[in-house]
Amino acid sequence: MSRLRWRKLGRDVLLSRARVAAMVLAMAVSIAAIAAFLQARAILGREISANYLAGRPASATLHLATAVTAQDVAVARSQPGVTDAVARGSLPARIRVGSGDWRSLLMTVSAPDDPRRLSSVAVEQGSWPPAPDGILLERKALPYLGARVGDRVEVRVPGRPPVTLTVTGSVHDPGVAPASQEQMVYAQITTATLARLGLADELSELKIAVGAAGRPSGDPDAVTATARRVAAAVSTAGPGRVTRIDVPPPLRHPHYGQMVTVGFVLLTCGLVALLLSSILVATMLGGMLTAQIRQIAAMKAVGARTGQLFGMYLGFAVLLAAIATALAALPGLAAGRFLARVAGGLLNLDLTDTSAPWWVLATVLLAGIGVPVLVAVPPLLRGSRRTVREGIDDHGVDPAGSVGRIASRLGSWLARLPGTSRTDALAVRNLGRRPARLALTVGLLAVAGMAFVTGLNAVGGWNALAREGVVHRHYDLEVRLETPVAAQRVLSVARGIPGVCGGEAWNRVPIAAATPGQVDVTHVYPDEAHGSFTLLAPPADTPLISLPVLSGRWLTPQDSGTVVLNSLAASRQLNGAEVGAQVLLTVDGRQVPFTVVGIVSDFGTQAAAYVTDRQYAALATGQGMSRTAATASVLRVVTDPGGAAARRAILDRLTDALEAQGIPVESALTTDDLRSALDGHVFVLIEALMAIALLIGFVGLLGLGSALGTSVTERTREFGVMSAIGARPTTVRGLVVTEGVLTGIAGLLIAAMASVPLTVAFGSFLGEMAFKQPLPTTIGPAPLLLWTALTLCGAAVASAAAARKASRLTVREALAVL
Amino acid sequence: MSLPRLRASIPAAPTPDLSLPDLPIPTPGAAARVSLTGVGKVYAGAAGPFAALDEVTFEVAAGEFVTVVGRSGSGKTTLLNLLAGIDEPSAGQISVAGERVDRLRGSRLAAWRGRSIGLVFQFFQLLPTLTVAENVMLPMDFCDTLPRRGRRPRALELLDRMGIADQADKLPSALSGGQQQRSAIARALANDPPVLLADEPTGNLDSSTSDHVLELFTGLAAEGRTIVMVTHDRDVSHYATRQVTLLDGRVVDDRPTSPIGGRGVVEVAR
Repeated sequence: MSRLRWRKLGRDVLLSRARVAAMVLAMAVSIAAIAAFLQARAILGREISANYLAGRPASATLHLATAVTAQDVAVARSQPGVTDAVARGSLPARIRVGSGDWRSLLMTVSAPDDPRRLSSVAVEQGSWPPAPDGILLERKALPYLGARVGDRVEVRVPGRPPVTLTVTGSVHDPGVAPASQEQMVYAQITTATLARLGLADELSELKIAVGAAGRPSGDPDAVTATARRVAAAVSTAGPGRVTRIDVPPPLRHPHYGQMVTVGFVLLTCGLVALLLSSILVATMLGGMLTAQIRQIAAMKAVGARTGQLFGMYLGFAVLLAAIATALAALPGLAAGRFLARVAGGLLNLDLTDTSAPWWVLATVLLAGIGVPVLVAVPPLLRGSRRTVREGIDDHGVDPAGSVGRIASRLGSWLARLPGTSRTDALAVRNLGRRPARLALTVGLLAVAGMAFVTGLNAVGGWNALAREGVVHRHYDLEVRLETPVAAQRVLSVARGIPGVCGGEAWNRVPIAAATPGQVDVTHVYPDEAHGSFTLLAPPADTPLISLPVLSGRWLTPQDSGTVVLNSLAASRQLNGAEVGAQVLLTVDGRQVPFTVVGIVSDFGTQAAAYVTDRQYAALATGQGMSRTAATASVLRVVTDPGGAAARRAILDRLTDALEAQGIPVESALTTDDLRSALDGHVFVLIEALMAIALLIGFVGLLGLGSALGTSVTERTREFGVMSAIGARPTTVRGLVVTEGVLTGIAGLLIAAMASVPLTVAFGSFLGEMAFKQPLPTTIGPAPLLLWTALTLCGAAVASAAAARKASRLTVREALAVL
Repeated sequence: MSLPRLRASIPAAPTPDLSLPDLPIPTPGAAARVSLTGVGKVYAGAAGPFAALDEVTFEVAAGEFVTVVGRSGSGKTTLLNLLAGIDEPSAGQISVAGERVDRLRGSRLAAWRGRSIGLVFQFFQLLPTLTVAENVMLPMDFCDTLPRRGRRPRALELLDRMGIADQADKLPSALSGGQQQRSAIARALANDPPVLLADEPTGNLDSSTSDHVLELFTGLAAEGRTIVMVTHDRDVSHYATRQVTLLDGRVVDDRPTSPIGGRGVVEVAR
């Protein structure tokens, strides 16, 4: 393109610099958002895998009924497909600093001479191995406990008196979530410490790495098959030595699902932002060409061809997009690194490399320049194709006038209404003059509104889900016992604690989806929580939980051979089992067939299957269902009304009393702890959605302002004529502001209607992706009211700026416009 | 206007050489003419079809300065739009500068228009963000008729001829109406077209400035260019060599306006 044409475009830009700046800003914001989201996703995707794999996680863990021997390890290593093997142990306990609250603790136990090639952690403070009276805490546990290296902590193993250990250092275990998120302290000790804790110096877990040529296998079936071969090889003395095999999803961090969801949300919203800014570019370039119809006619009259004009304006679009991309790329990538660091912190990751991969840069360039230019092609082509005749005849009204006629009739009708002015009627009619522009502007606002309202509704949905995880639990404390004990005895202890006003003792046992004739394989991660599968046996009419039924029904006293699954169990443990399906579960070492009669929402619990206490008693005793189980392994307690501190105090008194009565406590938590854990899991998603909703809203309002500015500019002559025949500046201002507000209302109505199904679909999709259950549909008035306020204020402010410009034009200036 | 005054409007000095030797455009002369044969134009209106032109036939030779006059709605502007390829005829044939305009479309029409005709409008239609010189350079740029380095000198040459060289680097908004119209004429001459079409070029000018513009046209016709000017002002016809009168879309009068005829004026002017 010649310099002359560039000069013309350059000066045109200078003339409408405010609008062009708004357009570039909107594009830049969107492109920066995309760059940030892509960058964050790329870094997190790369680093979550790198962090997780850096610890060389075991492909499978075999739980043995007896201690793992050196020969077992050697036998495992000799099996085809096994690249390494090691003996380990895991020990649930509780921990506290000074006289602080007891917290759940899970210790990984290794031999002092463990080569630490497999399932290893990085020592950040102190050294390995810790002294016999020492403990290494996972780094995120230090702030959670309020502890420092060198502090003395009390550790209480179930059934044993508390023992004081020294925090000799901290480690980074990339395979576990932060302590605050799981309400669980992870730690490392050696077998030498076991004696201090009053336990035998032996390990019962055999961890194996499956793969080939040093590369870990990503095939769960291959891992399972290999683990079963190892199980058979170490069970030469007879079956039953390997009680369970855990095969967590290979090469996947426990929070991989959350990461995928966050990444998806970020990417989707980035694309929505780009779509919005592209619509904005199309609107503004279309408007610019419309304002230049007469100039286009003049240029064609002196020999300009359509292709030349198209090329000229396309060059302009490319230039604007390139400027916006250049402005946005670096801040966007920096924001991406920041986002990645925040999310990485929440996921307990070490970000070793925050550089942008080439594909992020390529996508940002392609999206930043390609998409807006591509979207701008139709209006540019339409504008460039305008004939000299059209330019000469242009009166600011699109020829296909059906929308214009409707607007005209609406305006006439409005004019007859009491309380409306002629200006209002004129504003309505003006809206129909450029139907294509109106459609784009309203579309822009509608998309922005839909994204904003849906985003905030999804935030509400996450909050509701986290709340739901607690509100359907009508108890305040949960105490898990190390071994089943007499239910009446446990309840008796609980009743004696001041502040306890009720409770039930249930059975809770780990279970697995069974394969006839094979050792059970579960998908539990080494943290013993993610991927676990348990059976809970409450009374059918328990008042302590009322889980929302997603399909089928809840338990009834008459149930026999039936089971109610939570959604996580149905989807992740039992291959999407539905109501009516027959499932085979291993319960207390026996394979038992069940018919699924219900699926419930149970956010906050890992995979769980519910049967009645009578059903469990029949299973456990082999007798009929005439009585409830005599034993229990979990106690759920209702306390007197009080705050979190009061509940925590009651819990401590209760666990102390149970231990004093010789009832070992494996873990204990309040529903406040549960709520904190649930909030921790959805925090990243909520923050991401909030940021994105605000960003999209900003782009949408920027678009409205720009579109109104364009509209005013192209009607400069008209305002001049209006002024010439006596219109006052206030009349012109009123007209423009009314048009802006009406446009805002139109976009608002569409956004309000469309956001309802979108909220349901988006919530369902996100919930399924992250936690295998739809988000509760939360369509509150707040997001819509907020968007309404933003739109109307934004429309009024944006149109006021354009209106001020219009009303300040002199008649002479206005009529001189070509 | 008297003949002496007409003579006085022609520059005394030798006319600058405005020809573009590299251009493959029709040479002003025998080939540069306008021909309409049985031309009709019907518009579809809300009240039914409306015939703006009906069976219009006439020819304009090279060097003629023809004014087309008539009442409002007589079809003057429609005629000019057909000649410029802005509108398509409903019937008949139109040849301008050796091309069948009614057969040209798209890029060919644009290229032909840029090289073969110069258009002058009532409201000048100068691009507001380009200087006067840049406006004049624009047709050369679009039609790529001169090497880039030769465009500005030619624009200045044309502006000098129009007597506004000192305004070359100003924006149109800084010029008077007459100066803008002369700029527009310079732009129309940028590619040295054999035919100039002007739509009410004096309609927005005071009488003194109008006279000056018309004198320019007379001089250009004297060089051999064909000029067709639509006007509602019959008084300007004495600048022209011929006057065509339209009434309700038909030619009702076609006669020379100079006692010595069109060619005579050219001869006198030369």
